[in-house]
Amino acid sequence: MGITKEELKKVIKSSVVFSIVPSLSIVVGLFALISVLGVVWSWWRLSVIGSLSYESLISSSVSTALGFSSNAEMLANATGREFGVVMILMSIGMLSGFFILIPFGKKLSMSVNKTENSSTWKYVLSGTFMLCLFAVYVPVLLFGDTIQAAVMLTGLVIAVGLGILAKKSPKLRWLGDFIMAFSMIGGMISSILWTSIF
Amino acid sequence: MKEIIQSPLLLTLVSIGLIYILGFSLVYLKKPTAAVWKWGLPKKN
Repeated sequence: MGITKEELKKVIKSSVVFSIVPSLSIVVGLFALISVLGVVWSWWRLSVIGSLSYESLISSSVSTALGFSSNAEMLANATGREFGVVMILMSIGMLSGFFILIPFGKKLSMSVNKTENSSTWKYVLSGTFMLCLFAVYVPVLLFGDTIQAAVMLTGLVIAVGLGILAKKSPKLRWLGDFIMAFSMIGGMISSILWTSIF
Repeated sequence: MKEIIQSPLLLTLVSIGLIYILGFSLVYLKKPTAAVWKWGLPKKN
């Protein structure tokens, strides 16, 4: 095939790294979700389909709707029926994405890729969309609870710091793949400190 | 809620689901793997 042994080794190495590294943030997320939903359901949600941000948002929305002050309180006092509500919302609610994507996904993707003479707008559009999506969480976290806000800001500082380091130094470019995992771990560790202060 | 999230029934159902998905992914992996082997090992003329 005309591939040298060195090239093959390089491909195997990068494949291994890119298979393991993205899963690190999922593993960290799993530990965060276990404290809210237990081992089994968190394992199911994060192995098949789902993301930490979606699952934690749903569980906190349900806990608020059911009159609990936090996820921890819901875990301690809720009944099986309330857990059923969480399960149904997570499973059925997520399907809305598929129902939109099945008829429109291909058309949307093709129309974005096909557009000529507008090489930058699609990146701006998708970037802005993601930014708006995350911006919804910020006021909730920032003005809800002091510890929550402090943890969020710590994670933000770590993420921005690592992003700058990864961009500026070619030797530290690998850090770019670990930003989410490091900022989550950093945020979790910092929560111990913030809890003792506030 | 704690009894349900730690129940053996939920664990069994989740395990069945994950085994089913694993089997499904292995079946669908088989086809491209065969194609890739063909690229790597071309037939001798």
